[in-house]
Amino acid sequence: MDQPKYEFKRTNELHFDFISVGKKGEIHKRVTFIEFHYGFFNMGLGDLNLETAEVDYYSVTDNGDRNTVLATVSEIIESFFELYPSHTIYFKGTSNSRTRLYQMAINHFYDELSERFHILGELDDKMTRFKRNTNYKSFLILKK
Amino acid sequence: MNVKEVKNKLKLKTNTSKTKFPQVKIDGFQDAIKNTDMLKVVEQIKREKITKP
Repeated sequence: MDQPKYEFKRTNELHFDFISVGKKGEIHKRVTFIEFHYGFFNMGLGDLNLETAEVDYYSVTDNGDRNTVLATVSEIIESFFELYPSHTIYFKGTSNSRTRLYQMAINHFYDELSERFHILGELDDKMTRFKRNTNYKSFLILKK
Repeated sequence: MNVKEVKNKLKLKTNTSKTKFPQVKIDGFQDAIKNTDMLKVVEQIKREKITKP
């Protein structure tokens, strides 16, 4: 992927941290994976408070580096699949607008993402192969 | 599930209790399991991966 990305570190198998650098300064980010059903991990992206170690999944950072953050998340997913190659990642936003943001990101990077991953979207009562210009409720990613 | 995955799964259980994961994401996942063909579709893709040369 040509898009610039941040370096990230895996703090354990389920937490991947990186620092977003933009117009609001340095913001620590964490991508978390939690297994709620065997074989399925629920993924979340939030701002990490280093003092409390808590993650705010609802924050709207607006640091002006959206595509860099999303490209970094894509690399984190790749890294996660090195640990869990046969598992599935589920994700949706904490709000409709954030889910739309994720959808726009998948649209933006689709050609590159689809070479590495199966991407599905929740539409009504179906999980279907992701198509551009369709609004989904949630998403699934599997390693090809 | 290989040995590495088993070990990782064990670590997972000790870590999740400290994580405040958004309920909306948890509910969304449960709804998708209940109301969509998600499990079936994922199984289908996994089968295709195994049989694909």
